[in-house]
Amino acid sequence: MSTFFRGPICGTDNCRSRLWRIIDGRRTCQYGHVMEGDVEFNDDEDDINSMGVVTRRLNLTTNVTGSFRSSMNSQLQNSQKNDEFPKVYGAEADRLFLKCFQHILKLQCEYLISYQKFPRAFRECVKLMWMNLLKDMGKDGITNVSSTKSAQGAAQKSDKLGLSLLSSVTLLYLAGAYLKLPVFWFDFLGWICSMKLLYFQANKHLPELWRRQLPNFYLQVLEGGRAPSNAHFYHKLAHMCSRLDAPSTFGTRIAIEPLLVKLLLRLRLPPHLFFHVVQLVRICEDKSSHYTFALNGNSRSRVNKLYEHAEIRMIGYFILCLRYKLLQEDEFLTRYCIAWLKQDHLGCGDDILTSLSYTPVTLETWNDRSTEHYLHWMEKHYLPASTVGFGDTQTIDQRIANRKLHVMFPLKAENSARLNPSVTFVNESQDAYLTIIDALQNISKAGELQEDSKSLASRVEERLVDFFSNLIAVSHAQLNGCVSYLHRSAMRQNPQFRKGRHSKSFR
Amino acid sequence: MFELPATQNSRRIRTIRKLRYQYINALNREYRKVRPNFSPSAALPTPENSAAEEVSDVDGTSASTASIRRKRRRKRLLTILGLAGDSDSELSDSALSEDLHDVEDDSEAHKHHHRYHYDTEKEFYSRHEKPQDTFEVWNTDRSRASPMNCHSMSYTDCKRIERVANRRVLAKNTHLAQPTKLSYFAMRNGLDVDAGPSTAFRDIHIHHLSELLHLNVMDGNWERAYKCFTILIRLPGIDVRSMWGIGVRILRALSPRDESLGTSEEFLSWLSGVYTFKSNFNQSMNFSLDPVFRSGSKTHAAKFVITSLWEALFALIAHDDSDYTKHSKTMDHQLLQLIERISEMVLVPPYIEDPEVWYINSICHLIRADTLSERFVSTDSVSLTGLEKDIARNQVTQHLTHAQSCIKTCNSKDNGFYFPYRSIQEQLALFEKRLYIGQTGTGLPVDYGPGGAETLIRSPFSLDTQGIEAVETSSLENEDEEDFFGRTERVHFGFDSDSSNS
Repeated sequence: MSTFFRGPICGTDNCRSRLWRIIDGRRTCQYGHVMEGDVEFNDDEDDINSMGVVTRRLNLTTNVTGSFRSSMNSQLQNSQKNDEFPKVYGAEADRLFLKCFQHILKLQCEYLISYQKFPRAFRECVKLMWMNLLKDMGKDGITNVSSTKSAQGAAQKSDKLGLSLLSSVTLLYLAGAYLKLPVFWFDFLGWICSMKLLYFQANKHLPELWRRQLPNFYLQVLEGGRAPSNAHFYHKLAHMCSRLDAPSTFGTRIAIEPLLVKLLLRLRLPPHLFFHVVQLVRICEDKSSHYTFALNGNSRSRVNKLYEHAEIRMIGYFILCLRYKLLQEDEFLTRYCIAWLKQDHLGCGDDILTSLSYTPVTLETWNDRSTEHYLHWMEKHYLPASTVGFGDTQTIDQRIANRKLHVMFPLKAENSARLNPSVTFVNESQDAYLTIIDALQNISKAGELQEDSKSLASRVEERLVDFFSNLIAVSHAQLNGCVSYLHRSAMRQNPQFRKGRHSKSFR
Repeated sequence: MFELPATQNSRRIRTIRKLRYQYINALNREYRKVRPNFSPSAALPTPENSAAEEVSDVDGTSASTASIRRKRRRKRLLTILGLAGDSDSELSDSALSEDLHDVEDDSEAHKHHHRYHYDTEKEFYSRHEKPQDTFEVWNTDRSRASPMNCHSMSYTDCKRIERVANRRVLAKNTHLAQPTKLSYFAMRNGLDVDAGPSTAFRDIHIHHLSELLHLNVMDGNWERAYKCFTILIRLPGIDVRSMWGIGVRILRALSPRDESLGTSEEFLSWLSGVYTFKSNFNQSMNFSLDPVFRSGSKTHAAKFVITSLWEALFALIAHDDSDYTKHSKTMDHQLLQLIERISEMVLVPPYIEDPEVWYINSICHLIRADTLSERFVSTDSVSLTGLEKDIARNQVTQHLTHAQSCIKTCNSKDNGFYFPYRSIQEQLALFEKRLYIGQTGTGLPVDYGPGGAETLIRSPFSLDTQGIEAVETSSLENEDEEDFFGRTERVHFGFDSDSSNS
């Protein structure tokens, strides 16, 4: 059966058909009316190619004055190419990128000051760091110019900026450490992964003009990509320290007490463990540097020595302390840890988002509570953040279609009673500690205390390593390596440890 | 766990694909230099271009195979012309047939490629039949088999061909990104690069959402599934076409309870409106892969269009027996509208070639004929006078013939679509008999009283015996079937429907 094609309205006897087909060479409408004066000659048998004439349909229309021009489609394509704001390249692009980076840094500071109650001085401090960094870049540039135009120089120049979004976080971190604020990497990571602190898809928050001018590879740098993992942050931090010459200029040191308290509360471990850890640190560390750890600069030999980084070292001591204590068969801690191991979830509210940002395999994490929490966050934070400026990139047809679709699937208003967003950190931890205490009372003395202290310690340590590696985005192997190194060095420094677990110095 | 509903939109994928076909084509060219008598159509011994099949064309089945081949060539031409971009609805039949006639073999099809846009992938596929076109046409007749192309080739020759082809490809692509280059080299060694699931922040969250969506659909937790779905469709880079089935199911579960939501029919009609089969997918301009079976094209009817027809059909028959007379008027109106809509649809491809649409069409006519002919058997209505009776009878006959012709067209399409042909024929015959009940006097056959006829005709769903329809839609529809009517007894027709229903 021949197919129909659209044509003019037939009109014979008020026929409304627009569809035509060809029957016996005559144009016939859907209802059988034959078009007048339209006769088609059957010349199919002729071989057109052999006659040397090939007809071709040109895609032409006429413009206002009547001369030919190519059709609308190609016009549109041309106009897209002659963009009003073309991409910039070279030194100009670098400058623009620095501007964008600075803009993002500013937005990040604003968030921290207004929502996380950072002091006003924080902003000035970040500015100071940023200025220093810029000065450092300028120095690099000068040395590049003075050096020979060798290929090596060019290679240095290409990555002279060495900036990523993670560098912005390191700047914030350094400023926080300088001001002795009790914020640590896992706090920043939590804010990043819950899309509160500007990090992922940061390029969407740039001014429209800059975004259009910025070259694509820089836009990609500001996209965020995947969440930082494998101690990426600590490497970057060390790098940044050496660039800023931080140890000498800022003299930044990390205080361990707030870090310990934060970790303890998140883990729901008993508070008096705090003193044990401090004692262990005092035994093992240099006497002069009580309670603080210096932030070190970068050096080639330090790449694999993660234990040199203050936070990781501290966490390593934390794990070691709990291990020693359990091996000492501390009665309360043993019972506590048995109850503690039965708790389903550690960490507070948004920690689940952090762990969800890494692995796509999450079947076991979904329960009612986490699903509800996740979907709520998805709708309230992730969705608005990732659709910024999305509407501008669509054509008008797409926008209309999408609007219709969204009317069919409206976002429902949340019944806030069920989700209860007013859960504070304090309430949450109180509840968690209370449940542990309940579990403690329920432990039957005979059955579960039978467990060997070694196996209990290893189970606890496994769980701790799992939790910490998620918390600070370090791989299990890296963290385990740190712990075993610290253990060895502790043994070396304090030979009395080796004699027996009941050493006098660590009680 | 599930395929991401995101659109793959990367230049790299496209470049890798292009490189692959460039390399294969270069290899092929080099090989032909060594073996000049190597014919392009025998590139691979697929059943279609094997020598054995050429011989089999001579015997009785030649007509059908030849027609298949002509159809396929025509289809390929259509795609070529369609991709060239100038053959929208304006392309007249005559122009098409002209094109069809002057291209008689593949070598001339190549000219077409060059005339419009050179695509290495198309060059490759012009030499190869696609497997879905060719399977199960193997010729097993030993006597007709001709020897395979089993010329051997020395190792050095083979390596030389590979080397030259590689050089040619690399000469064309001087600047390649490192990952592209790596995957090209891997491909040359017969390996495939599997990057694993993406760990980018955005992809991971899309992954979580789609997983939650599926999990909640599995649990029947429609509220939560709805929430996942609404968030997903609002995210950039998500293709609704890859999850419309779930959306329809969610709406069907929720929209009766919630006024603010759209209905599933609205959603389906939105889909058919936005993703129309008329849009051309220009492969040279899009980096993404073409949406092969996710939406319609000129050769393939979109599944959501067909589903929307089924939905409309179901919706208009869904009613209680109690207010039957009240309902029948609106139902008549809707049914007529549906018939109108389908009859316009089947005038153009792809629906003209789709047996399922024809089947739905015939079912519509069947239902119409049923409601009209019911007047003849019902006892309580006023008896029709002679002229009115004739008019009514004519109407019924008209619908009966329509249904008959539709079902015949559907049968002739033969696209792996099975339906109870015989029981529909019986139904039609039944309706026809009704017209003449009065005239034959008491001549009602014993096995069909008015009651028997009622039960038969009121459940046209038992006619829907598609075993092979996409599982999601068919199973969903069957589920609802019980709820819609609150009627549990099943009516069995012949052995056809028995076997497929069970």
